[in-house]
Amino acid sequence: MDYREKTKLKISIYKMSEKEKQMNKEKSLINKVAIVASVVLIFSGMSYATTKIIEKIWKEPEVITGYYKEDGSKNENPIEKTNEVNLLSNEEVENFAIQKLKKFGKGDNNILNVRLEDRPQNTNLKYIVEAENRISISVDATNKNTWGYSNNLENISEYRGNKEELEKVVRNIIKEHDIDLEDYKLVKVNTNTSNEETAYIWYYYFYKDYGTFINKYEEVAVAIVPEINEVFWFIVNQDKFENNEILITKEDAKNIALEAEKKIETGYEIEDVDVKIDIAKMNSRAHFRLNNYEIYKAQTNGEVSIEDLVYYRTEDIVRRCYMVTIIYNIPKHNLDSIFTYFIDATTGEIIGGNEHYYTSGITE
Amino acid sequence: METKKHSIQEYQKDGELDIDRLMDDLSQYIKTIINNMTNNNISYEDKEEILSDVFFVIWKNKDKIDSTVEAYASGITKILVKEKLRKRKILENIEDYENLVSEKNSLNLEDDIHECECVSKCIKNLKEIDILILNYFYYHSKTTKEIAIMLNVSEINVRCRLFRLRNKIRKEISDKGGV
Repeated sequence: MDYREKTKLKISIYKMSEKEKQMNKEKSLINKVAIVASVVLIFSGMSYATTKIIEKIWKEPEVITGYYKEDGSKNENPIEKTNEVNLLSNEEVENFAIQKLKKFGKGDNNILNVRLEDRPQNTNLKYIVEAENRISISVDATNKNTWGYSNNLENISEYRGNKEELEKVVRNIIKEHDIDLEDYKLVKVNTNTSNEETAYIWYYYFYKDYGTFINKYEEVAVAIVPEINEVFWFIVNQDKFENNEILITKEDAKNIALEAEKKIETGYEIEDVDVKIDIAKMNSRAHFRLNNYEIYKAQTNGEVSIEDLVYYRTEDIVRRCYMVTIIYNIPKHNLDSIFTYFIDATTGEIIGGNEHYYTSGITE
Repeated sequence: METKKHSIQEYQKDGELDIDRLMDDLSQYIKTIINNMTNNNISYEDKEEILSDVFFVIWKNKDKIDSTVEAYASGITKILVKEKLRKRKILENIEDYENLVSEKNSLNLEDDIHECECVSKCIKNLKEIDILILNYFYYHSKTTKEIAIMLNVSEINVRCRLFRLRNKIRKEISDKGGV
C-alpha cells in the first residue's frame, strides 16, 4: 500500500471512530430513556407500594467479532480472565480429569493437554482436557461442579438396549460419581435414531426438581451405549437458579416485549402473544435482534460467513422470567415467524430470547 | 527554485479537503525534508508511513491551520521524522529530543501523533477487501449497496464486514489508550 492509499485509509478509520463516538453518545441517551421508561412501566403495574430498590442485572454485553477464521477454526484471541484469582489451576484440573478417567474405567489413558477455552456467547470459561483415544473432559474454570466427559466411541452401531434397563445402569453410573439424584427428575429419554429398536446410543436427561418447577440448567445428562454400557458422554451442569421474586405482572411483561418489538421494523403483523413463567438463562438473542436486526436476521438465516459472525457476550445467569412469545402472521417455516423474549420477573429487563415457541412453563 | 506557498483554503473543495491535489503538490517537498533529515537512515516503508501521517494530520487539522500549508507540513514532517528517529534511537544530538518536545507542544501535536500510532496499528493485518470497503464507505461515502455492486459481493456481506471492522478498530484504539 503506498502512502496515498494509506493516507485515505487513515482518514477512513478516523471518520469511523468519530462516527462511533457520536453513536455511542446517542445510544447512551436512548438507553437512559429506555431504562426510565421500563422502570415507570414496572412500577405502574405494581399493586402495592414498596420502597424496594431493584438492582439491574442486565449489563451491556461485549461485542465479539472475528472469533472464527474462514476455515472454522478459532482465531487466536487472548482470553480475558476477568476473575483470574478464582480460576482452577492447571494442576487441579489435571488431577480432577485423572480421577474422572479412573471412574469411567479409562484410567490408563494419559492426559495429552490441558487448555483454557472461552466462548463467544458468554463470559463462561472452561478447561478442556484431552486424553488418549479421543477422550476429553471439560470442567468449569472456577469450580468442579460443572463438568463433562466425552468418549468418541467407534463401531457401536450393532448394540441394542432397553429403556428401563438402561435407566438403571445410568442411575448407577451417576451414583458412582457421588451425585444424588433425589432432587432430580428424569425429564426425557432420547435415542440417536428415530426408532428405539435400532438405537445404539440412549440419552437420559435429569433436571433439578423444585416441586412447582424444574430448572433445566441444573442438569445431569448421560449418553450410553447399550450392552457394553459404555458412557458416550456425561454432562453435569450446575447453573444455579437465582430464585428471584416476581415483582412484575404478566401484563407488564407482555407490554415490555411489545414495546421492544416496535424498535425493529419486521414488516409483519402480530398474530398472537403468549406469556408463561419459567426459568431462563440469560443470552444475547433479544439484544442482538433489537440492536442489529439486519445482521441478526442474516445470521439466523445462515447468510453470514463464519469469519463475519457476530456475538454478544453475556453473563451466565439463570433467573425466573416471563417467556413472552410473539407470533407473527407469516408462514411458520419462516425463522422470523416467532420470537420469545425472556423478561426478568423481578426487574422487567429483557435478559434474553430465542426463536422458538415457549411450550413449557411453571406453576405460578 | 522556491516552493510556491498556499493557504489551506485553496485545497478546499465542497467543504472537503482535496487530499489528492494536496498530495500531488506537497509530496515531493515533504520527501525532500525527510531525505535531508534522515540521510537515508530509515527505510522506504518508514518514509511512506511518515508521508501518510503528515497528510493525515493536515487533513485532521485543516480547520486549525493558520500558516501556509507548506510551513505547516514542514513543521509536522520534522516532528514526525524526529519522533521516528527517536523511537529507532537514531538521535544525532540530545538537543534533537529537547527540541522535539517543545515543537510538539507548540503545535499541539501530542494527541495527533498518538492518534497516528493508533490508526497505523489498526491498519496492520487488514485484508485487501476490508481496506477497500473502509475506504469506499468512509472516505468516498459510498452506500453499502454501491460497494456491494463494485466488489461483486452481497450487501449483507459488506454490512457484516463493516460491523466487524468497526468493532475490531474500536477495540484496537481503546486498548492502545487511543481517543
